Amino acid sequence: MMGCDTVSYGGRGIVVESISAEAWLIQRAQARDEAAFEQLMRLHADKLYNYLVRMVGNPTDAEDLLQEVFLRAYQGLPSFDGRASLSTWLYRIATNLCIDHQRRRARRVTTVSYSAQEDDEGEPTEWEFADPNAPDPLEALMHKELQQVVEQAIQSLSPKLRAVLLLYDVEGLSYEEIAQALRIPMGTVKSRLNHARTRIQRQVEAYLRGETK
Amino acid sequence: MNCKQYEQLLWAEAEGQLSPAEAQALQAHLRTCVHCQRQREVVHATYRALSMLPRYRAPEHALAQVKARLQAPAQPAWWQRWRRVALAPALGLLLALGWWGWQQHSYTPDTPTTAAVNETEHWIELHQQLEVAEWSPTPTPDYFLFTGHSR
Repeated sequence: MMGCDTVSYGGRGIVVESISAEAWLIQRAQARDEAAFEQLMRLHADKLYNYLVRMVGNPTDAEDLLQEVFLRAYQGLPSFDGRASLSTWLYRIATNLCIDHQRRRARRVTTVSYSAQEDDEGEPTEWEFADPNAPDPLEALMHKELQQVVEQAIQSLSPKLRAVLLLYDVEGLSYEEIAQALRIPMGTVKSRLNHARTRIQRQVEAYLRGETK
Repeated sequence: MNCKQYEQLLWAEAEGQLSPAEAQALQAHLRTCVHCQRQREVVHATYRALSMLPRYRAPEHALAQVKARLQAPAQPAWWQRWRRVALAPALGLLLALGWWGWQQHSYTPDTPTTAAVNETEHWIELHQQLEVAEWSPTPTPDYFLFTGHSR
């Protein structure tokens, strides 16, 4: 997946256009050009961070993992062969790190509760709403509540199901890209997606029937 | 097709990926099945909520930290691999040297150095000279000055 069509490079007024922009940046970064790598980071940071926050359930851990993803990517970039897209490759690194993180967290005795709407200080996090102009307040409230139900339902999924659901329904990857990112057959991607969607659907159904808030 | 299979078509319908034939079959089923009509509402609401989830922006300082870590002087790969192995003997050597130094220091009072011996001998010799000077019929002026003896 290409992140954009034009890329400004290194603040030197060089603008790279067309589909080869990312490939050119990858080549430069493979040759240890840090300015090129920074541009690649900027192209993929938001998507990866958005994925990581929902995979691990909190922005602080997601931030640490985002840094780790990029450091590993920089180390591994010379051996990146371009068979999968850079985006898919980065999602693979991110998913592996999330699963490791989940295992480490499962070993801990203490648990930390987290509200998806607030950060550690209780302040609202920086949201970028897809639909900021809801038609009326009641509908906006229902929409917000429904989103909270969906967020909670996502967190209740196992990491394997969550990864597939987020990559397909939230990040917009294709079945093939997810299969490459997670190194699983495409049939498994479809069955996991189906399974994950059914679980989310059940919780939304309970909410709409008034069984849960 | 049963209701479970139609439910799969509901997701495809929400995504806009139904073929005309599938769309026609689904519409025909929905006209007669109340359960699937309800499920249609649920699936569409779920799909909408998923696709409209708020998106997080990566914090700028996280990228700055990555950049700083990349610019920090890198340790050679062999050192990263062997540093733990190398650390144990180095620590052992350091401890051995420390113990040896402590042992040397603790024996110092029993083994006076050449300088200390020379200084002692110097004072004995000086004392002997002063004793001789005290019995001498003509003591030097320095003798009276330094000993405090009166003429």
